[in-house]
Amino acid sequence: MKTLIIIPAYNESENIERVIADIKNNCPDYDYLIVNDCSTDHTAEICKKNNFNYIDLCCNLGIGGGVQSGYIYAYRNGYDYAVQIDGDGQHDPQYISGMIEVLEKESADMVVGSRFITKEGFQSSGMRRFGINFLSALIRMVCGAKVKDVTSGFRVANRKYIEFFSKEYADDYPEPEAIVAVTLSGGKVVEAPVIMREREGGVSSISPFKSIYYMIKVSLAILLYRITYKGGAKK
Amino acid sequence: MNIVLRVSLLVAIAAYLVLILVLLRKKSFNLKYSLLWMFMAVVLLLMVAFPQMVVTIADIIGVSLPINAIFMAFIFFILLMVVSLTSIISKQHREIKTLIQNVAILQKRVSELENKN
Repeated sequence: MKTLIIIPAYNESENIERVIADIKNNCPDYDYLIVNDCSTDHTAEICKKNNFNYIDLCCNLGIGGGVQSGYIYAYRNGYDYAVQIDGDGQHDPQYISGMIEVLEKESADMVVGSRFITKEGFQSSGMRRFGINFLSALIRMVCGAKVKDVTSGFRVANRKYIEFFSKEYADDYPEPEAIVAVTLSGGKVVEAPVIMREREGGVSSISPFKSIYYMIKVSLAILLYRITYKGGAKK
Repeated sequence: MNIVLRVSLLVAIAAYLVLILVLLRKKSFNLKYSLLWMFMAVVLLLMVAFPQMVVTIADIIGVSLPINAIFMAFIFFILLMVVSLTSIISKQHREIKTLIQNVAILQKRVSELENKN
């Protein structure tokens, strides 16, 4: 099966070489694509110098638009599976094959890599976990999807949802909303256990200051997505 | 509504309509988007032409001064306009995003082809 690893990168010059080396070591059979979201540091130069497989967005689109570019690329180039992985080294590529196995075994449409199944590795702070649990409960309420680690950006989608995401993907903080979108459209979302690392360099895209905005925006987005969903009730 | 107010409103609406027509002539205004603006002018003209209508409407919706009904109509139209602008911006945002994504993918394809030669 043709598999593409999508790596959204915004100012990841400190991490990107290590992330790619990690991917080449752990999953030599998979292709990868770095989406450089108009970084202001040397991310583009590093990609060029190392001859990485990458695209350059000419304007900053944010995580949603960046990841979506990867899905469009995957769709046009006939990939069967697309894997999303953060550009900061939090996600260990050695779990990708396991996630794809789960996708095939459960005949799911999307697999979310979850750090809360084995409860090992980096677990995030208490406050943040509370927020994630709240969103998880909310998502379960609006569409029935049982996903614990709803904010995890470590995921695999099959061909059908590569096409779906290439057409429709939220702009900012898209991860929880994507679970709702897939489930409401009749897709199956399951979780697979992964162990995450704490980020190794650079700064997280979500500062504590933005957390409140994040919670309000994402909660509203989930509710509004459900209310304005045109496809009728969930199957 | 006294005659002075009616004349001043008429002058204001006329100036407003001229402005829209000038912008349309200079092609700095898309006809599609100017329709709502013109519709607004027509409604205001009707109010000036038939002030009794304003009084009746003010009575119906519970506004004691007819002039306030005109203010309300203004505010309502502006609100409508801003909402429609937001919808236009959202559509353009989507289009621009698609453009940026396509340019990036095509750029990659071009440099791949260049390297092959």
